[in-house]
Amino acid sequence: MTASQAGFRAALVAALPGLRRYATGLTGNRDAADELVQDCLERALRAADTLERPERMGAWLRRILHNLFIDEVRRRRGTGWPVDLASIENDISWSASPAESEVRELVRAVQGLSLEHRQVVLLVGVEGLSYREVAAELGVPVGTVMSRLARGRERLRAVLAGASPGPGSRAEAEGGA
Amino acid sequence: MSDAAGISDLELHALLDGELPEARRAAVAAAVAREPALAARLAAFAEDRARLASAFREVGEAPLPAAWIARIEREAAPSRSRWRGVRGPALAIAASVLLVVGGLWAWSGGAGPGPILEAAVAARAGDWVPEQSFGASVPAARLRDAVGDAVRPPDLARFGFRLAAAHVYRGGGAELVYRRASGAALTIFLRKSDGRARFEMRRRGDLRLCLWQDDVVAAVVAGEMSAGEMMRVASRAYADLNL
Repeated sequence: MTASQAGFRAALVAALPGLRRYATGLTGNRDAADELVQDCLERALRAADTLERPERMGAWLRRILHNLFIDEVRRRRGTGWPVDLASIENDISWSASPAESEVRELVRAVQGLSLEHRQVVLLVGVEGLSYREVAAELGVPVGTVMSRLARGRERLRAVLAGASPGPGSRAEAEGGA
Repeated sequence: MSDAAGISDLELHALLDGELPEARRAAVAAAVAREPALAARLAAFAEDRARLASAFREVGEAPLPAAWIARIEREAAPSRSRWRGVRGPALAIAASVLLVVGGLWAWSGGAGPGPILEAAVAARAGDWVPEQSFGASVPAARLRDAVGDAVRPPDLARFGFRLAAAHVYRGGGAELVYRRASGAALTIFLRKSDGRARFEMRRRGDLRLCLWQDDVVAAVVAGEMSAGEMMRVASRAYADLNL
């Protein structure tokens, strides 16, 4: 194994947790996210020589993942996946913070965003990318990133402000049955 | 959309994300301080942003499926003698130990740090007196004696870190000290492996440590940086250690 192969593998492993987090945000469904990451991994390994700069690993993987995601959404005719709350809750069950109901509420709210808005909100707010990086990754001007971000966050704000999971609410009915 | 003070939502978000140009920062901050409605709006967006990051952080820090790592190992079988079959196990361990969650990262007693982590921290703090110290060029033979196998100081220039010194300790072990122009230090503590493949990320105060060990060499990368940056630096360091 050459040093560059070792480097590629190490960088790939190091990028997987973030990729999985992003996939979970896109799909809102843990199993779907894992399937997506697994498919992405297969493609990435087959196309390893197309990664020109190792420091672009994250962006390169997200691009592959995103193409796969779009294909899958089209196959499902835009219906998306059901929000799989149970499996997300499993992941956070050993963690005190944040509260499960809050995660539930946030995942739902993110799924309520259009794909364009969801991407930008997640890439900036969760993955910590700069506006310029997001613009380069999505192939749009920085101004477009900014307006999508503002609209996406506005929508998120409206949903979260309106969400009050009282007795008989949808979340309550699904979770408590 | 702009409010009465001429501040658009785009600018509020840019302020929040650290993306507002210097020239506008003071004006926007002053408007926020003057207008309670603007301040409330900014606070709400800031809260949503923090909640979102916090919620997804947990998902991204769950252990990786072992099958993914096994798949990566299968793809490129090592061909060079020393690393034959060596790095695979380390990567597999990386998967199983990647449950590096905020709280669990903290220096904890029960599942506490192995001795090598303590050694790395002690060496970094200067608690150990080196048997011999070098500048940026450390003799390969001396390093090999201390670590038990041939290693080379990783090239971390892409992260702004340059090798500044190397220390060799009596009884084995070596420390490579890298510095940035700002003076920030990154240390790599190297020692002969105890034979187990391990991958661990830990945090002690502001210091973040990443132990990456195969069956030949153990390396502890330590520095004051985010988890993401540590992953990138440690990956590079590990991949670049072999000759």
